[in-house]
Amino acid sequence: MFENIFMGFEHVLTWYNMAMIFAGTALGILVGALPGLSSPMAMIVLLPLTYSFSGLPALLMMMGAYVGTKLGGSYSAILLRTPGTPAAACTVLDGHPMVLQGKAAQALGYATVGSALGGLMGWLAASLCIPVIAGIAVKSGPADIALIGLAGLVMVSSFVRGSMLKGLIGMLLGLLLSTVGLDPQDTTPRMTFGMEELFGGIDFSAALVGFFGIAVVLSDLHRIEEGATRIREKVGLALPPVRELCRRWRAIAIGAFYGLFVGAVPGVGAEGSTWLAYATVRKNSKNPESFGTGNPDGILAPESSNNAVTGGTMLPMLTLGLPGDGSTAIMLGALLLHGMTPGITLIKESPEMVYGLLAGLGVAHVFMFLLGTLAIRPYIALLQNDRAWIFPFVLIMAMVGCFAGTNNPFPVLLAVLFGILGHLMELRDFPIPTVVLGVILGPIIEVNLRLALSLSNDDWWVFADTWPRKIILALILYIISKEIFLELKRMRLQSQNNPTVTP
Amino acid sequence: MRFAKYCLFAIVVLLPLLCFSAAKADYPAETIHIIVPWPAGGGTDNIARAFAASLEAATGASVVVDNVVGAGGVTGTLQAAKAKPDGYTLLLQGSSDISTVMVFQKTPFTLDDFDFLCAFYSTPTWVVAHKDRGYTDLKSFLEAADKNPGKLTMASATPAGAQLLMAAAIHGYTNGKFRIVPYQGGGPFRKGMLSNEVDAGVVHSPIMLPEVKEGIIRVLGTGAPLGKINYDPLRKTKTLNEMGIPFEVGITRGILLPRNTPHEVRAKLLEASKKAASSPAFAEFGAKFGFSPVWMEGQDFRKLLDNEVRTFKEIKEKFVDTQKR
Repeated sequence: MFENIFMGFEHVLTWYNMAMIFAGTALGILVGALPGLSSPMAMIVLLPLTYSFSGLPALLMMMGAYVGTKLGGSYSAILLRTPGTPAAACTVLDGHPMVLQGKAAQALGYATVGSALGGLMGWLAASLCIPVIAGIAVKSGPADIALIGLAGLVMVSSFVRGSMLKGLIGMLLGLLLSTVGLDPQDTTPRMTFGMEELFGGIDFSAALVGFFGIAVVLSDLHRIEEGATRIREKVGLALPPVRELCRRWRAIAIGAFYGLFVGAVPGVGAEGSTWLAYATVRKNSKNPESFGTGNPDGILAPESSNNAVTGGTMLPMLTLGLPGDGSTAIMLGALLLHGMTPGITLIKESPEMVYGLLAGLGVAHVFMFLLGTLAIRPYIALLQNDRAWIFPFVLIMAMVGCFAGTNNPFPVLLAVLFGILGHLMELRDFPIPTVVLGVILGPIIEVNLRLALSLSNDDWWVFADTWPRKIILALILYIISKEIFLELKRMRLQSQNNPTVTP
Repeated sequence: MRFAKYCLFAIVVLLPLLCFSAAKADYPAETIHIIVPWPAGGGTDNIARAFAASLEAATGASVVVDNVVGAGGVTGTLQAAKAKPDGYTLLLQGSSDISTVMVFQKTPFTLDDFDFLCAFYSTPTWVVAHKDRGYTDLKSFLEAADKNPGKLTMASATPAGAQLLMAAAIHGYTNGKFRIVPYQGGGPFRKGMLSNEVDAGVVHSPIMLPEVKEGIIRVLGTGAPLGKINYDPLRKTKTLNEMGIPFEVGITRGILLPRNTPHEVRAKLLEASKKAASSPAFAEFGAKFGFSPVWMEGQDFRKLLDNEVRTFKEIKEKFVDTQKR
């Protein structure tokens, strides 16, 4: 087992391959930091570039980009309140409040350390348990995936700040948007208004760019003058002291655990894991109220989680040829282009590729940490300029990202529409992330739920017929009943404290 | 202000590039774009990128692949139909990917909107099953279904595609006692087959070929002869026709051009495509892909599509519309 891992490093530790990983990681951080452009986009840009390389260097470069975007996304999430990638959306919650308190350097430090440690933990676990976890993941049926998605939705609605009702409304709006397009089973057009462009459903990049990018720019437009000072100051990076990290190891470990686990289940993706990790850390915290106001644990958990996902997705990708997210789907395509057949035979036919990629994942995280700590300035320079300069740039790059996914101008129009809608919702204190989460998880839940029912001949007991399913189901019911109970208690307390004045 | 300098720099660098691309000369003088209406990394995209590399070598012009994704391939196909017919916009699309959207939806284009150039890969659709289910061919699956009416499932890799029509044809012609379960594309389908959650499944070959070689997945039958596959034990797999189901199904991928592409441009492109499709590099891709390339010229490709649209419509009216899924 260990000789295989060493063999992987042997293939990777050449100047040429290291340079490829370094270039990929550097580009990844940049692309990740620019809102709207995320890792599938970086990798599609790299795909034609890598034709001239041989297989391993090409995929190592993509691996670097995959890892780099996970950190880069948090830069813009923290500094601009606009997540650079969907997986960084959760980092906004506590990252941006820290900036408002003048602790931008510390926030970036926590993000960098959290990403690196989480990623390395994920990598280590992936290297050690490729056979074990892959065996579990391949057995997870559509019912399991539907339940995991549902658990994610319930958890997010239970921890939104402010009104839970508004959180639920936002989430349901997201779910509603996700039903637009052809019905996944009998291909009836749903809410397409006869428009061909809507048949394929609402492009996810349009929702992300609209609700997070454009809506944020719109909301901040009238604050340009008052807010410019806080972003003008020089932002560096302050690594958190080791003692502080030791105290907060739990957030990193929980994040890495969820990242690895969710990454290994194909189809859920990094976004879900960050919210799950955040919710868990918050619920186990001694003072959950401090979350959302700049608690470093609220940065460490999602950042550790979204980097650990890279280790998790390697399990089904390298052992079964199953993509865990968009980026790994492109990597699998690149494997094919370079003459390898992804699937269970890959590890036998080209072990140097499988273990080389695993080694590359570890090296990429080291590079990411070095780039993050030593060369953060040029990256931040892009985001740190006067906001009036940045916003057109954000808008243009977001639109490009929106366009480049499909090479079609329609998602750009949708994004503008969502931007206006998101802005109006934000003005009325609706939590925007819940909308986007609904859009992301909606199709995953719907497709798997209906598939599970098709397979079981419409028998709903399929969702409770194995122990893992019973446990997830119990978890969902527990969260819902607890929320209702807490709400009732709060209402009773309120009515006791402010007895209604009777005439 | 540093940012302003960056912008200025970008403009200074990019402007001459834009000017250069406006220059014109003998075909092909500009970049040739191949529109692929599917996301990067899929079967059609992989073929397109291999073909683009070979076409680049054959023409000397640079050839790029544009993935114009959406609406089950309609967006990209429509964009190609509306493109300027100057030989710089090509469409690489699979026969049954076009014919199924024409059969299942009202499409904003018809076959007459295109000039058909050539086709180079023809892969049948096949029925597979996990070895643990114990079926050796389609007959043993159907017999098992008869013994447990309504219990067995057959996956279709897409909800409204050639795979579904093939499953429906098997279901209808044999009066099969199994249920059809539509999956969302090749990825989820592969997972479903490997985790053995479904009894059998219909998908385009060579999807699952590595697992077939490994002995985990068995091929029960095929929609068209498997003569071109580079795995000997499968070449003689029984076709639906041989098993008494009068339906032929597969996917032939080739190049379409916007209608009224000038004759001399088409001739040049055809010659270059033939050179590209017979190049050693393209054959090498075929070996990895799992099939040897074929060569089919425009009128034959068009005939194949006309035929497909007709038979697909027939099967849909006969067996899909009459069933509530």
